[in-house]
Amino acid sequence: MGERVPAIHVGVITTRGRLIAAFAVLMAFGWWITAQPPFSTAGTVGILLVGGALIALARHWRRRGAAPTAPDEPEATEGLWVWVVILLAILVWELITFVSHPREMHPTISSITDTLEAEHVVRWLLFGGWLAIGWSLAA
Amino acid sequence: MSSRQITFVVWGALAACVVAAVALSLTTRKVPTLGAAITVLVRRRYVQVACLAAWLWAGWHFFVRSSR
Repeated sequence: MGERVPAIHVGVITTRGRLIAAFAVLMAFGWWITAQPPFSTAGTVGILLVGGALIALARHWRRRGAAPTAPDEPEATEGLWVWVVILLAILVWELITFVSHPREMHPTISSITDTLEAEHVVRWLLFGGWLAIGWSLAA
Repeated sequence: MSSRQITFVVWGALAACVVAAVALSLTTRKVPTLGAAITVLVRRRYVQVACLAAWLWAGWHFFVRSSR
């Protein structure tokens, strides 16, 4: 029964395994990055390195044909306006609060998350979310 | 109602919209999932490059500017 598994599955699992390993390395590096002092050169270089590595990884993943193809079916584009409107509304409200003062009266996304980011573990978990967003943009 | 309260109410409403859109995308086929929406939006090369640049900046903003 075991021999019914096609050989191509082994290849996909191996690629996924490598991808998971690469993410684990980036997350481990992220622990160090999120421990750096504010506005540090090491932190800035670290973010650029991780960002560059993730984009390169995504390109490699796409070139190998492992990434899912862009959805062409009508339902993928039909309700797209809902997301466009929500994302634009978030962007516009962020800009409005950003130019409004004082900050305590007009909190932006980052001033709200600053409280959460006081904890290193939370900052590191948010770093994981940032990687996931980057992957969905680049892959 | 103070400006602070209004700001939080709008942020809350926007968060509720995101949750509602995610719920709609998972329960009906009328709204694409966020992942599918991003895939469609970044099909154009310049949009993808702009989004990745914004993503890199966001990484610096959230993890370098506010790192301890």
